[in-house]
Amino acid sequence: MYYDKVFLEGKGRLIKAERVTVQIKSEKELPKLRLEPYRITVVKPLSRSVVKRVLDQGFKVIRIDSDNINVIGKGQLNLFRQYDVILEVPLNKVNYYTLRTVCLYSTRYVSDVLISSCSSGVAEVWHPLSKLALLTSLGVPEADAFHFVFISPLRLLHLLEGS
Amino acid sequence: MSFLTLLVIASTLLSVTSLAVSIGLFIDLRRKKLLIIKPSKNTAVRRTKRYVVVDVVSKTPIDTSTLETNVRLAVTSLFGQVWLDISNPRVIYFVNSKAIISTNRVGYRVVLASLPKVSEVSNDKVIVVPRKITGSVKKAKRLVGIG
Repeated sequence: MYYDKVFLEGKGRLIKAERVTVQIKSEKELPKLRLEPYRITVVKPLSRSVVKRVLDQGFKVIRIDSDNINVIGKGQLNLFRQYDVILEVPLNKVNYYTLRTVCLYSTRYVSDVLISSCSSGVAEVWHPLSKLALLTSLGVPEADAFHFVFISPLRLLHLLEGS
Repeated sequence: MSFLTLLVIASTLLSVTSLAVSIGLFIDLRRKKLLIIKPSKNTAVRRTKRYVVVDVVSKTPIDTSTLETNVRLAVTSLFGQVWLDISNPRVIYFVNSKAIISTNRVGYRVVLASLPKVSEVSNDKVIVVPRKITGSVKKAKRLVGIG
């Protein structure tokens, strides 16, 4: 019932908000980041030094995939917990070891993990039942998997309403 | 008769006697209801079948065997040959773009997780949407609309 709304990259069509993914390599690129109302800015940091600066600016959604899995260290995880960050894991750009690692870390450090399809077309969209089955077969506890698939997107919507 | 032969016969007799005594004791204990062996009443052990009801959305009509081949390929690509053999997914009904995939209790999650990988069948885009998991064909058929 929660899947009648879709976050799309670029201008929102099914939902009023706009979703933008920004890749940050170094601290020089930080000034181009700006918080705007009705815009979800998903930041993909490519180095550990950038993470704290990004979080200080008030960005709440961090994207983790196979390119920047090395960003996650113990210090960064503590930062994620401190700032109450939502981690986004795209299913089509991640290997399953990374997905499992992020989900298992999250049980201790991060309360919300977004498992997004990041599909280029309708045929690549993952059904929530399939997401649940994948997560549980990777060893994630069933309650956590349920939370990631059904509750975390709602929290993102709440963040949006608060902006 | 040598001493060795006598020894072998004696030991054989002794073992047979001890076996008879132990069997007798077992039967006696069963009779007196001191040793209670109950068959398992856990009916869930027997019901190991699972049926996944799916909707298949495609522009061109798809054959049952083609769908089954693609589902099996998806399971192999995601979980490998071992889980394909364990889950053994088979398309048993495919009517009105609704299908029933038969699998078991151990492997139904594997089949569910692999369904998004079936995105293309014979160069056409396909969406396989899981609807319901049931334990009986009767209910699955009812959901599909043929029972």
